[in-house]
Amino acid sequence: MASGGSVSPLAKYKLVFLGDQSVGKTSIITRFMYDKFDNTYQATIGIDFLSKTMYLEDRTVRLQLWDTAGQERFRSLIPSYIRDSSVAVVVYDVSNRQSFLNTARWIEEVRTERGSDVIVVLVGNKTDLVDKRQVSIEEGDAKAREFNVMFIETSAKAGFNIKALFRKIAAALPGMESLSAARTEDLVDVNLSAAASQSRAGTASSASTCAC
Amino acid sequence: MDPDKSTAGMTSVRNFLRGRKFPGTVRMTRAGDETPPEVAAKPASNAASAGTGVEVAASYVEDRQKRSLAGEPSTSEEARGHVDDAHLNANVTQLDLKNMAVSPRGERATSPTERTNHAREANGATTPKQASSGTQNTNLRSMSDTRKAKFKRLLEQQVVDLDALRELAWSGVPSDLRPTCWQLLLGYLPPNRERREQILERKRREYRDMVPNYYDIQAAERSAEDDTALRQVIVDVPRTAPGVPFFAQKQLQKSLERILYLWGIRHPASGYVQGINDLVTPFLAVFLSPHMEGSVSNETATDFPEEVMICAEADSYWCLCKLLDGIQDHYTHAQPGIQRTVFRLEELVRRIDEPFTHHLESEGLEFLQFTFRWVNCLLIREIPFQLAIRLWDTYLAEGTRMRDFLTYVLAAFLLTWSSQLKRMEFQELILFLQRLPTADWGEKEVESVLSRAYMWRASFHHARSHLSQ
Repeated sequence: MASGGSVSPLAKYKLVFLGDQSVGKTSIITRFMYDKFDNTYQATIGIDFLSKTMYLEDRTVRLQLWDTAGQERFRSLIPSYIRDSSVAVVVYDVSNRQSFLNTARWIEEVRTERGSDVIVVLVGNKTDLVDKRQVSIEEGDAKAREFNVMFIETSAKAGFNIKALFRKIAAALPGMESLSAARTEDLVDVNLSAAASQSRAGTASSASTCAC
Repeated sequence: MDPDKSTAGMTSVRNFLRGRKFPGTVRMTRAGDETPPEVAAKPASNAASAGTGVEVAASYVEDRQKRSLAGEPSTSEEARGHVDDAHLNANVTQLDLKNMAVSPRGERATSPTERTNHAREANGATTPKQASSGTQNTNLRSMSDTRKAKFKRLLEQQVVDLDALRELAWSGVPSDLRPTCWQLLLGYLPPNRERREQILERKRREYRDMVPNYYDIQAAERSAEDDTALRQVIVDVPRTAPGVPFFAQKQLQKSLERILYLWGIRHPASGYVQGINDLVTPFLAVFLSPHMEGSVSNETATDFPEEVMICAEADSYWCLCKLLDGIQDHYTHAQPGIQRTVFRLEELVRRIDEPFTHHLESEGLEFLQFTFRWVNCLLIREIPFQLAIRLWDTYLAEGTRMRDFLTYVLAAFLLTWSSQLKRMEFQELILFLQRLPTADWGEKEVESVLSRAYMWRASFHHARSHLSQ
């Protein structure tokens, strides 16, 4: 499978997107891939694949994204993708409390398959739905700490924090340890304050940094 | 690059299949499949009365058409011609599978669709060779008129000959006759004319009664489960067939919502599963088509009278029930029906085009990764909506054999791009297969897929063990 440049092979990383039906997994990926948003993506059936090359300061990586179907019925397909991925992005909808509660199951499933040998990011999507918010940023952050995973809020619709999400993931990828911790912290601070101002969810304290 | 080449998925499917009892009987071949080609090559009257199904009967579609159109029984010469034809096809199919897999429309491979075309041509005033393109167009028109007349004659019978209707419908149903034909083929309408109105009235009333009893109730009266089901449906309805503006209308979406919710709570073994929303769309579109001026593709603001809407909705509901009855295990826990179809597909493709299967294997691409949606939505998402309706003609004509035939359709569909795909690496492969270049397809392409599917079934069905290894 020849791919990547002739200079050095492109490092490839697999990311699996998990979360309930209609929380915005496909939308987040589409915003990241094509910088666009559409209200009417068909429900994902089974698993979709997408790939994007990310140019970081000191290296280039290729991200292979597995977009899973959120409905319970399709769940038997997912474990093999979790086993295969080095990153699991667990998404919930900040305007849907149940989807937030269900993230625990997803994270546990990832831990069952991969133990701690995996990067997990908890993502609260749809921050644009300000009036419908059911899950505060603090709750999201607390859950991320409880499970010892990364956390960020996004809005695929508004294009908010999507790049930040992927930069955050890229910075945490194996082989990226050389990146300074300070820089990672910076990134997180920026994200959270931005999230807070957008969602008017209150003050994002410095405690809201990445818990990993 | 082994991170890409996970075989875990397929292994798990195999294990899954090995240790599992599927609901219902699992047969890799069917009784009707074991008919040797010699037997299959008997005149149509035998085939039809033997009830061996569409496949045998359909190979003689054109024979029957000729006879009935000409108003005379087929001559023995004609019959012999078909026998030779059938033998030739069988031989060609066995010897030249790879070629056919690649060629978009194998010249030697006549199938019911193509043969029917021949029949249509043969019934024109001039032979195709003599005809100028102008007269050919006229001929085509008159041929479709004759074909339509044939449908009409069948539908006017006191008791519709369903076998004959299946044969005819297999190659496509004229759009204005689709509502009736589909409902007959699905067994929703009884073949007997006299009983039809009564049954229709009863079924529609039954549906109407379900709405206030199950759907139009206070949220508090709904169980938590039903409430979850309703929410799932509500989320999916607005994103059903987004490419077809017709379904963006509020009225249509409300209907869709009721149908899906009611279907889900009345089928608790599976409940509503995403993708079933796609499967209702052909029914709604076709059953409403008599009340539309334009076609579904350009109709965006039709305000159907309530009575029209509720009838189409009820009919769609019952037809969805009939359609899904045959493939229920596609949607039950762990979706064994889909897993099995994908497994059978892989084995079939290996038989037809081994280098292709090898290529996928060496790239680490599993069938389940790209065919899951194909099976779950019966290919409806992979082709333009109008063509899905054409595809439905054949599915419904296949009746109970549809789920088996689907494997062959999938193989023919996939191998349409065999030579291109063999040159692609993992990433390119999967991206291509997820978004196939079918946007500019017409009926010709769909019928070519169906032809090859038909042919492969004819050549593989008597190899009893071919899919059960």
